[in-house]
Amino acid sequence: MTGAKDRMREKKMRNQPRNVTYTSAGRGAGRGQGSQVCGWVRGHQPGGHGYSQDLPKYITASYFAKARAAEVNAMLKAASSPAGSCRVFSALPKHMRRRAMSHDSKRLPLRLREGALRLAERSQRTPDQQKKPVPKSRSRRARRRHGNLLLEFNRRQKKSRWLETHIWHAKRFHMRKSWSFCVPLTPTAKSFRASYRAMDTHALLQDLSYFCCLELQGSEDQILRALARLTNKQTGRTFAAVSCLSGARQGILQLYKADRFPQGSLGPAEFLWRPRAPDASLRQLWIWLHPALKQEVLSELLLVCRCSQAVSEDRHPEADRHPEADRHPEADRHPEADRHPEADLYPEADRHPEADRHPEADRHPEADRHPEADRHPEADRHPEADRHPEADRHPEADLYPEADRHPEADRHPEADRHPEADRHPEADRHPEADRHPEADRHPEADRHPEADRHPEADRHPEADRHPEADRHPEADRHPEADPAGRKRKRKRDGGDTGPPSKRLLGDGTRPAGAPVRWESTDTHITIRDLTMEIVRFRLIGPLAHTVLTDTLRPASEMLSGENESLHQQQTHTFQLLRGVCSTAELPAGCVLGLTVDDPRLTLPQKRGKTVPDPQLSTEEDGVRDLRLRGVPAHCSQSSLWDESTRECVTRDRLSDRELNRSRSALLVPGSRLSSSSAVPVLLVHHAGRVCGEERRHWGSGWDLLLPKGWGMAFWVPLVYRGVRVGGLHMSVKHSQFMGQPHFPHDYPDCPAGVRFQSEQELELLEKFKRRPPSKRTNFIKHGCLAPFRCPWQQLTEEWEELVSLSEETASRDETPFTVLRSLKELRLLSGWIRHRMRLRMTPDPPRTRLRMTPDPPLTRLGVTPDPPLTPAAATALQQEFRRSLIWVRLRLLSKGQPALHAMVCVPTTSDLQLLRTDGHCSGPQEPRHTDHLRDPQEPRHTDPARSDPQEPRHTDPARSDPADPERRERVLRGVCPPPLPRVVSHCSRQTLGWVTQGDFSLTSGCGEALALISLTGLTHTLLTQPKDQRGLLLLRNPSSLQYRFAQISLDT
Amino acid sequence: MVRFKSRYLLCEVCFSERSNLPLLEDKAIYHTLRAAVNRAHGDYGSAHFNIGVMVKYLNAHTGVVLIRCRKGHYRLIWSALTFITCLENRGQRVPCFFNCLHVGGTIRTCQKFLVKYNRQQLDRMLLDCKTDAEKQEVRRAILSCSLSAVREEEAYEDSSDDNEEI
Repeated sequence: MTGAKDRMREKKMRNQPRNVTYTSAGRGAGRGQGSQVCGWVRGHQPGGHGYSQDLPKYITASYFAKARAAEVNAMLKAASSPAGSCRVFSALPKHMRRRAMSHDSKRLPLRLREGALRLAERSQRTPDQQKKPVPKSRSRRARRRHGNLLLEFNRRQKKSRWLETHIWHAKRFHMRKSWSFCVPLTPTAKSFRASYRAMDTHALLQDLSYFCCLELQGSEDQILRALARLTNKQTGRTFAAVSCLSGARQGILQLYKADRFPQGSLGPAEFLWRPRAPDASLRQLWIWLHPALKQEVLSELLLVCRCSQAVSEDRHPEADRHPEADRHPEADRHPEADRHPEADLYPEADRHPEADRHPEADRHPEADRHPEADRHPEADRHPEADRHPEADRHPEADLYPEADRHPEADRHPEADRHPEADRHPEADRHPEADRHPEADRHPEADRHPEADRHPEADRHPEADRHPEADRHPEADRHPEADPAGRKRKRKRDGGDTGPPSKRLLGDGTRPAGAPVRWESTDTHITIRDLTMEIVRFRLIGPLAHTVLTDTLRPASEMLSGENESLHQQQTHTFQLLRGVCSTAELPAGCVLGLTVDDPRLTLPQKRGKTVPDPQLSTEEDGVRDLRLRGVPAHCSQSSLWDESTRECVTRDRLSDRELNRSRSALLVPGSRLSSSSAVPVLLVHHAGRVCGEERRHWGSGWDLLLPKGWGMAFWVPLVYRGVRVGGLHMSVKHSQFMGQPHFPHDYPDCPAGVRFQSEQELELLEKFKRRPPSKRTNFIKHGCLAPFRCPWQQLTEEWEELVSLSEETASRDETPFTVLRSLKELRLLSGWIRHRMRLRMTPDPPRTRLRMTPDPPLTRLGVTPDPPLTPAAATALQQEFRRSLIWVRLRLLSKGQPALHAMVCVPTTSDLQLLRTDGHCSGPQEPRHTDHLRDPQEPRHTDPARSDPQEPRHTDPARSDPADPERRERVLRGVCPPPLPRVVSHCSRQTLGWVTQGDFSLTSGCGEALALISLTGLTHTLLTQPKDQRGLLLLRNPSSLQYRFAQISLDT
Repeated sequence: MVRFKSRYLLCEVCFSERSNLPLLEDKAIYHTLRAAVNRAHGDYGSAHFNIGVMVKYLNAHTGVVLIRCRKGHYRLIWSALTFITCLENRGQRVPCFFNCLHVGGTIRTCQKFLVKYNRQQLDRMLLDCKTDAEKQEVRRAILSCSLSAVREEEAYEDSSDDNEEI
């Protein structure tokens, strides 16, 4: 510090004259006496100077004059130059200072201008090396121009896929990027209760287009045989469920890894069979998956169907002239990218224009391996190119392989500079040139359009500016380079070459060569990835069907190749829906295919709320039939299943602009436009709460499946019918209110669930760390071991150990935990728990006895009654499912609001006694734990409430060696450090599990939680509890010491 | 601006004997001055002296001294200056007297005055010169302290500064 101070002072005193004495004259003689070389030293320096003895004996005028002159010089210098630290501007008196003098040196007085200029130059020069030049962005007006805006949107969609309603949502919702999608999270407006009310009484709309659809095509037997390995009958439905196999119903099932049933859970999936067509032998099956589990399911499907032949196709019929051909997403984001390593290694392979634009190259299976065919790993997997369905359409592609890999067209960089290429620009503009069958055979004809497009792509100004441009030369350049070229083209010849729309439809991030179709040679199953190909909207609520009947009008004119009578029947069924009071009345999962008009034509003038009108329906019989039997199977047929129809409908969509133009050209303003397009849609009913006893069918609704591109055309009319729009948060709440597990949250045994848990842990930890340390919850004091992530594995192991210790049948191995989904066992457990509920619900004990006989519905169905809860039955169950969790619902008896990761604990006998004496007691308290990490000096305080003192309680190593500085640093205060002590017996009540979702439930009016608890622990607890209090547990929030009584229930 | 306001006394020390010039040191002047103030004004004066009095500049060749003192009691110091008759350093007493040339509010004004004063002196010297050689010398000295020379030097220093910083 002193060094810096000295330096500052020295700088300041640089120009000031120093003392001139005879003592130092000898040293200072070299430079004149006025300014000496010796540095400034503050204060007096004793004995620092030697005395020179050669004094002048006499004085001459010249000597004196020199001394005076030197002094004058020194003084002049001191007086005229500013002090070291002061800038030119501060040398100026205040009244002469002007604004922005440093910007414009002409505002300075003339005498200071020179110095200011020098200063400005110096300040610009030094940081210039580090400072990057500010990128010059275009004006806002230019950026917001429609075409440029689209370009910008398309560029931004490279990073994460956008739903079709993205812009609509982004204006109204908080968006979140998850699962490589941009998903709406919550509305920015306050609407939680309103959304709940909409779900409860009207309709809530959600865009679920991010759900991924996989299509399987093949013979029914083969598909069922292959898929049977992924499912198990114990968990409920399989793909072969009778009601679903006809295509009349949609089913939900659990997927497991192939042949690994109790382990290896993947997650839930919805599936829908295409109704059997009379003339087709192949069946089609759609599997709808959450995007978090798509990759795992896809790889499993490829395994069980033995589909090893990946086909990277771009087989849109309009690919040649339609902007969809421009979809070239990034290679590295796609999980399939590892199959195509050369996509990164050989960027020049992708940059070949004809690989993307050339119609032959697109369809040709060898398209991406032409220059380095020998190095391509796929080359071995495609031994038979003639097997390819497209190959027969283009026999010359095989006959003339040179056409594709003509040396000049592909490899020669001088193709850009080819003189001929520039002389034939019309070859490029000519739309037929690409499609011309003869063009393929002539290398020259090929070369011209391609060669012409090269420089275009390179010349585009955007191409270099993007930061990703170097990472992905082709992926970024093409979608932008292309519209630019198109634009120029349009200017030149009147804009009739292609549609002006450049909107990105479908999956924007898929790499150019990524396969979307896999074929199998022995099972003949084709798997196709239909992600983002089909738009899926979900309407939840009792009036969802009313909204649908109001919005959709059956098409007045038919699609080509459609059955007239089928359309009539579907229309009739759809009209019957008006007579239904509530969506919940319909059978779960029924499917109705329909062809509708463009809903934009019937868009109401003002936004209003649809209300049911019972007068509309007169056919009581038909409605009753619909209620009881659902939609007839043949009515579930839809042309949405045909890919060609989908493409056709997507292509023929009128843009909003054209629609508005024709609307303004109407003779009578406001009258209805004549319809021009028919859209095939599928209406899929989704059941609400199907299990349990209370609030059955709550949360049912309809899913609306549309071909891609039509999202906004249906979205806005639906919103105009007064529905609320919800985001991701609302779908979590929906499943919570329904009492159903939500996919990534409540599936800790699935890979996606594990991933979700670690993400959630990071998020919660970040949130925790954001608070100042004094305001954070001290979880150690609350005895909460895992506030951010639940150690499920440890929990199951400890419970197993605890229970088996008493029975001397301990076994230790590394079996991972599972979540019990086998219906039989769940039903058994549910029966054991439900005994008490029946007792409680009826006030009169004698009558309860009568009702306590086994479940009436089960006996009626002829199922053997469940065995009563005995130690033997419980042990058998424990032995069979040693490390299992079960998913239960908890309802608080009195007040309290369960939070995320609240602990589910076992009440002691005294707690139950307490509840028996006082029905409204709030529950026991956990004694406060000691935070030994916070204050190591504090003597350890033993809890008096602890049940077994010989249990090794504090085994965390951070306390055992508090001196270890590294560990102490890493430990976050208030959170238990990693090797957790025993989780089960850490608190005064044994922990059974944790809550994964908990909130005040608006449907039931009390706190409700969904928790995963250890099966072993639960049966152990149930055995010890008295019969009338069976299933009573305690719930404690992570940031509280108060236990609350909760009743457990298990829906089957 | 809030600061300690000072007065600077620009004085000339006049020795009768040139051989004693080496004894002219800032420390000696300071002690002599303190003794003089103590003698003239007693404890009150020396207490005032202890606050903020400092010899800022001393040129033994020309005998110019710059003394700083607080504005509130600079007259006290100034009046004591007249009573100095000899300078005491290393056991030698040198007879001398102080001649106050200028009293300024900042060092800068004193420096400006000193420039003017020295020029004046040089001009007077030129008139008093006896021999031609002396005249030449003095003339050269006058020319050497013109403003342009200073400017050049300054520019040189600035550029060297820049080099240091970079």
